[in-house]
Amino acid sequence: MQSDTMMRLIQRVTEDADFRTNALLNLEQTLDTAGFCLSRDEFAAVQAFQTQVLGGVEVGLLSNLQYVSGT
Amino acid sequence: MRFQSIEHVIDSLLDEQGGLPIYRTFLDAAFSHASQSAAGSTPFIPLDLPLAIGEVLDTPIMPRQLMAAACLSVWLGADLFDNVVDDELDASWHSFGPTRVSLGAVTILTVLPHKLIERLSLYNIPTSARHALSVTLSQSLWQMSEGQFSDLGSTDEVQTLSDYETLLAGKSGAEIALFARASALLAGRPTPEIEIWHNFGHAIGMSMQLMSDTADIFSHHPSNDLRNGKRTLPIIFTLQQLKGEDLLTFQADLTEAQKDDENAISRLCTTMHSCGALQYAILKAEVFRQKAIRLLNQLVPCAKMRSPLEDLINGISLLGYQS
Repeated sequence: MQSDTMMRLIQRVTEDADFRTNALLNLEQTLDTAGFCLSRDEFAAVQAFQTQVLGGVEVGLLSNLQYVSGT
Repeated sequence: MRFQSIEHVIDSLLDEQGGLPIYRTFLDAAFSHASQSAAGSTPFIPLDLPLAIGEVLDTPIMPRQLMAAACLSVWLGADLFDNVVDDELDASWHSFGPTRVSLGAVTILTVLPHKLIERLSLYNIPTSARHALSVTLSQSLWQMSEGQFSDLGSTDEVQTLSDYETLLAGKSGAEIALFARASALLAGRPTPEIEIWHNFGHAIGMSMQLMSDTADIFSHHPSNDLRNGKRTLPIIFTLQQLKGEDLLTFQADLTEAQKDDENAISRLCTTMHSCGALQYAILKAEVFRQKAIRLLNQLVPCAKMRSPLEDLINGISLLGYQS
């Protein structure tokens, strides 16, 4: 089955604590060193959710999701 | 307030149309359902997007409202139809029954928007522009019908990320792209610019549907999509992460979830969460939102002028409500 860059990124985030730490400190350089080639929109998305995705901070995320999606 | 002005536009049309009192009762109930959806404090895209684009492109107020009414009608018909097929009609619809609601939904989705476009002639919108709007509407409705058709068979037919994105593009992607494209067309913008407005709306639609599908899994218990056997992004992502016994257990739970087994649904959500499906889905939704921001900056370089649309895009950000 095919995967995409974001999928590989989440796999790496889930498995590699050092990667998470480094990415929180310097996102662009860490992604570059690890060979992740993100589009402009993908990089902006990761940057916007850096704390939630790389730092594992999910506080408020689920309630906001419910609120924004209107479900 | 914005809903009342659009409701007035629709009421005028329905008053002129006349017809069976019970049919009018149904239509009034349907638009009352739309009014409840519009009442929240988050942006209501079917109404707020065409109104905001009309404001940014300086479309005269009455044609702008007619366009918003047509977009609202498309959304309402599609939403009602979706609720019938997903068995999600609430008790207020029981007096009509699902077959009548289906028929009414299809009329609201396909006939009413064309009738609203016809009324643009009252405000000196030329025949060529109205014809172009009708063609755009028909093409988008065709795409949405294909998307819905695919969605109804998603348990078997949606297996990969690519299948899922195609499905989304046909449903909400095509729908919101229509709202943006038609608003730009009405404003008389040149063809290349209309294509960018189309892509802008498509990106918003994709982002919102991704968030809605993700919310259904992680914030709505028990998930309607799991019970209905739908294959949405968090599920596809998790199926690609798991191997061996874990994969077999997950697949077995997906089958059990369709029999309303709440323990299976709970296990599915836990597994998806531990695999990173929430983070993945949120990132994918944000990529489309970022694309919409980038396209808007290209379409309207002046920051002050684009602010109504910027507010709308910020209003659908998951980060917008965090303290």
